[in-house]
Amino acid sequence: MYIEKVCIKNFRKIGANGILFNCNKGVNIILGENNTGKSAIIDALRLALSAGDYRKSLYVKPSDFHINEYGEQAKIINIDVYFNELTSEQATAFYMLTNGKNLSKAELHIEYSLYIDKKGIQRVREDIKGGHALNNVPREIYDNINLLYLAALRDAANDLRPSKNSRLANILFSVAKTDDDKERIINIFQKANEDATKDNSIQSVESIINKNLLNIEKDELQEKVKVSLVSPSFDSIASLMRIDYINNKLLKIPEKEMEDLIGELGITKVSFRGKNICKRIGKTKDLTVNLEQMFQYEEYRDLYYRLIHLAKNINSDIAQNGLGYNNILHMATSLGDLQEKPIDEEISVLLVEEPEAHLHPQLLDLLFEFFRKANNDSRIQLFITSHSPTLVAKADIDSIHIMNFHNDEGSLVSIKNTALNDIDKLNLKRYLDVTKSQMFFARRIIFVEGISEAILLSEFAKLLGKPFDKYSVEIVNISGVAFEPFAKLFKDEKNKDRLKIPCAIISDNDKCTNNDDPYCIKKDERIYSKIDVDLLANKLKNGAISYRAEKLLTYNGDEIHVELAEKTLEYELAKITENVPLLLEVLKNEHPEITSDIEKRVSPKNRNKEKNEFYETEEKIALRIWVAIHDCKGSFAQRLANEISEIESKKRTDVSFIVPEYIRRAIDTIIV
Amino acid sequence: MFEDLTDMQKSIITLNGKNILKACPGSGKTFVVAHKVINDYNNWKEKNKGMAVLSFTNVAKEELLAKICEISGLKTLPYPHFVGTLDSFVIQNIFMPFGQILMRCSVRPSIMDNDFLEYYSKKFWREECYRNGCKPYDFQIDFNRKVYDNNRNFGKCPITQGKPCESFKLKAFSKGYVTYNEALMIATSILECYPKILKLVANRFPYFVVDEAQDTSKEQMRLLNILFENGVKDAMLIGDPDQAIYEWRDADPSVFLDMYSNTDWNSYELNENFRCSQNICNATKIFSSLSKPSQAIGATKECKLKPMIIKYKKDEKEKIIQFFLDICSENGINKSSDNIAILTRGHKGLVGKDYSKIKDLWQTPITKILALATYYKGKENIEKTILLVEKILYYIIFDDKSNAVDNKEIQRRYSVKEWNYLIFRFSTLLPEASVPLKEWKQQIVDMMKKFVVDNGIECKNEIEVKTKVRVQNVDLKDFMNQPLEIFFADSYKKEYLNATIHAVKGCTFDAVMLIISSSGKLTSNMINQKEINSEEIRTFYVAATRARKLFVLALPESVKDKTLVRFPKEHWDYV
Repeated sequence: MYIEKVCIKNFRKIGANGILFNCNKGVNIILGENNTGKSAIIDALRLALSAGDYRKSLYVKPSDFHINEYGEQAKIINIDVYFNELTSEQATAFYMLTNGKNLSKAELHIEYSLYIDKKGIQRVREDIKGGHALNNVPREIYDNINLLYLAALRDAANDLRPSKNSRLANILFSVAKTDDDKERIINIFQKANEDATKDNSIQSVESIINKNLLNIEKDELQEKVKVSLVSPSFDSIASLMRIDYINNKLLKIPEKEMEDLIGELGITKVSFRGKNICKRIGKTKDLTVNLEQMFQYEEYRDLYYRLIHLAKNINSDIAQNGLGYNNILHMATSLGDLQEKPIDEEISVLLVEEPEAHLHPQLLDLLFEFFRKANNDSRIQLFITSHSPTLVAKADIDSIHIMNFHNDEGSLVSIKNTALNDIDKLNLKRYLDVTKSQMFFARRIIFVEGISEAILLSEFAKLLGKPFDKYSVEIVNISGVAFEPFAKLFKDEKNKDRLKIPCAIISDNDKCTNNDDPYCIKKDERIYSKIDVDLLANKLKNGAISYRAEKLLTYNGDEIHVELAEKTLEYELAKITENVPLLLEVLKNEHPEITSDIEKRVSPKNRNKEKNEFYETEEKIALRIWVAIHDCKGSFAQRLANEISEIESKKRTDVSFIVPEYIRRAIDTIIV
Repeated sequence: MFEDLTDMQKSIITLNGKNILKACPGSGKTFVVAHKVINDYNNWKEKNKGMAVLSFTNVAKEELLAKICEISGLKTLPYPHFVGTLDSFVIQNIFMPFGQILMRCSVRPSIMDNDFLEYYSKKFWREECYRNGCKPYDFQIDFNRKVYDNNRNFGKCPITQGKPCESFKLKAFSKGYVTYNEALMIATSILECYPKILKLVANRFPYFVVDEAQDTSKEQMRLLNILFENGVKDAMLIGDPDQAIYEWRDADPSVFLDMYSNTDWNSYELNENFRCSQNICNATKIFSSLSKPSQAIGATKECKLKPMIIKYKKDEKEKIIQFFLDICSENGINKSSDNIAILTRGHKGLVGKDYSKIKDLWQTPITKILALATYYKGKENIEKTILLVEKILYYIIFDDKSNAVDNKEIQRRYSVKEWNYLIFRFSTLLPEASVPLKEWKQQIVDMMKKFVVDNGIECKNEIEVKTKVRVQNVDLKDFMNQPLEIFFADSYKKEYLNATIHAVKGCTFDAVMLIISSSGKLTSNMINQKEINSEEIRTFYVAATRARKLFVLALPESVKDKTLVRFPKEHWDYV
């Protein structure tokens, strides 16, 4: 049994059109920038799945009712949860929720309505109905829903402290199922209690109190007290459970004691040899035992636990640990609690908000693996919200849902429902790393193929008065030309989800690169010393744009804006006459000789027309610059970016720079 | 907890599997069922599967539940168990959750009561229908939207095309309005056609206890049997076919007897009588299907009084009543309505006049509901009163067009608290049930005016309190001066209880006299000649087995001793 979909209407940021959330059976990661309604989804699930509980941690407030753009507040919040794949036991448990015909499906409909009572106070009414027929739902069915919620800001240390409702107590309750189990544990404590109360000191505590009581009460009231350690009930024993880190790796122990211990366990001293477990400390009679090393050997396990007990008082309390580790411990414990629940008739759902809180990336990796495995083992359905590109880069593509906020309407895009096929997903997964997965948190995206574009674009944008940081534009450098898997995320296809974010792809048309093109430009034709400008000009004039660029153009449309440079970015830059002085100035740092060669061929502004034959046309100059930059694109772009920045901030006024038209178009489409 | 039980009763408590129990009068049936339910409840391990503890009437269900609570200290039998009438079980757990999709109606289905049925049918009924004597409840519609005619009036129907009855049933069906019987039929069809749903229901309720099983109808038993044969593992049916007196409500004791002889079921006879004396047990054995006379084990088991037969002259009923009361005094039976009962078959035989037979006394439906609410309040039946008051308020404030009270509609205007307050206020303001009809009419009108003003209610419907003011029957002429309760009463309390047999089912008295009329639904001839397995005999049996010490049968003078073949002098004293 799992949650197949959730419909939410009029809840906080989510408006009257509502959000339809198609959930995965296993892991669901909900991404989105702040204030897009990620938490609203988690809270809606919390509300729906705990609506019938007597003790709720969350209530709907009048302020949770959506307010639309006209400032009108909705009167009714709807949360509809649809379940699928119920076993027959689960259908029995969720009898009044079954959908009426298909008994492997169930529906839960929660409606909150806002009304004003006679005193003029706004109040919220809750209405829980089950199944297609809107049956009344007995509250007890909620005992079959195991909902665990880990908030973004967790007080892990506090949640793990011994108390009646601590996670540890809960686990003990799930593990010690039968009365016999409980009896056994109670007996241990009872015995300990008896022993303790026999102790003289404790008995004197008791007698002191009783003596005083007697003095006060005289013969009026004949009350007596008894002093003991724990009340021998399972509840109070469970509430005593505590957790500590075993953090000592070495143990100091007198040789004699160690010999007794191993003798008792039937272990010979000889067997330690060569295992780096035991060592004498200098010339003392103490041994140092390497516990970590010892743990590697199965045969010493008993010994290990005996030694650990000796070392107990140097275990560290969880309060002494960092937030991050305690968070991990918290999650491990919580999952343990859920995993022990019976799965034949119950459903377990874990909601985690921002698990990345307090964790460094590598730990996050491990944690995510752990989630995934826990899910496979025990069929817990997981809902995770995150801001972390690290988590996204690690996750299965199919488990990602992106919260999109467009024209004041929120929507939730599930990657599994986009136009991506399995191979695309594999590819996308391969390309997704931390920097690229940032795109899931952006409001506008520009995909570029290389480092030069990545460096230069934001400077261009500033020059155009549309700085990217202001408009929350993410430049995604895919370091290559495999735009397709990315493009498909945005493509509008029937019955498919898509990311509704303004998006542009900026690439080169890579003219004259197809192998079957007679005008294909060969590798050695791009070496400056062998340059034949006329040949290049001719080829560029007649050659075809590359196949892959052609294909990329098919994605061009309302959702994705594809802009291609004529040949390459560098050629486009150089084609603009006004840019040539700056480009040459920058190039000079990389190739001083080539630069001066080109400079000679540039006709001065007020040139004499007769001397025409030596100076070259603008096109040829551009070709020369393109070839010259070819081997130093990265550093060229870096230097150029610096200079443009100077121009933009008016520190330099002696040169000018004009952004190539195709880039201007791309920026203008995504930032209107 | 079980020390109060006899060995026979104890053996019942621990039974498993499918058992059917024939319980003689006074056998402490409710007591045994309650113990059985508690025993099973205490041993219950399942979290989501539960017992279905069913009765035939609401009264019987309340009685059983009260017994269960009294013995166990529970407040109710909680989830996952179900306690209720068979009707409510079928509606809540089968018809409502699964009916809508299968009926393919646009809205959530609801059950029509008679008033609504009448009201709604008027939109369709034509002159021909009235002339033909067609009543809306004579027609039934099934799952496949085929309309049946129970009274075979179709043949006489002059309308060939677009019969009003058919359009009425179809329209109602498409709006989800069905009668209880139709809901039962649909529920049965659901279980028959959808094995998965059947399996689910049987899984959810693997154990059934059916009290008063003799009162189940063929249709109800069919539905239960589908469940019993498909997954329900444990079942306990308990009843007394000899006391089935609800044939007019479709109860069919032969269903019970068929199952009693079915070899798939273990049958038991609970034949210890805590109530009657051995003399009464012996004398009434012949009217029962029991294999041997019940064994009297109650406090009065050794009472030496033999049941008596006395004759009375027409118009001298008062005399035999006095005679009967004298015998009671002689034998130390205190005169009170708890100890002594004088029974008749119908209202007519009651000592008072039968005002309940005035036809169309209540001229508007709302008047009848108001009167009933007053009556039930007088009887301290809170549950019924509240139900009726809610209906009244809904009629006044909202609408009378829709079938059921629509809680959503109410909640749009009132919070649950406010609405409950209104119901409570209204209930407390209702006149006393002992107020004469004439004054009651005035009081109720005044009270409602005040209620509407005090609570700032906007009336959607004008309330018309109208009754008949004249009747033809001279005997009943004074009806306007009679207390309101008399129009509904089936018993009168004096120094003895005067009631119909049906009104005292399940009750116990020290002394009982049954007055048989020379004509009517229960005559001496019937008692002596009808088959044992007939409603008349069962009705008589119920009357005779109410008595702990003394049972007197009063017959008209004209009855000859030799016709009393079922009353041998060995068992009966002829006075």
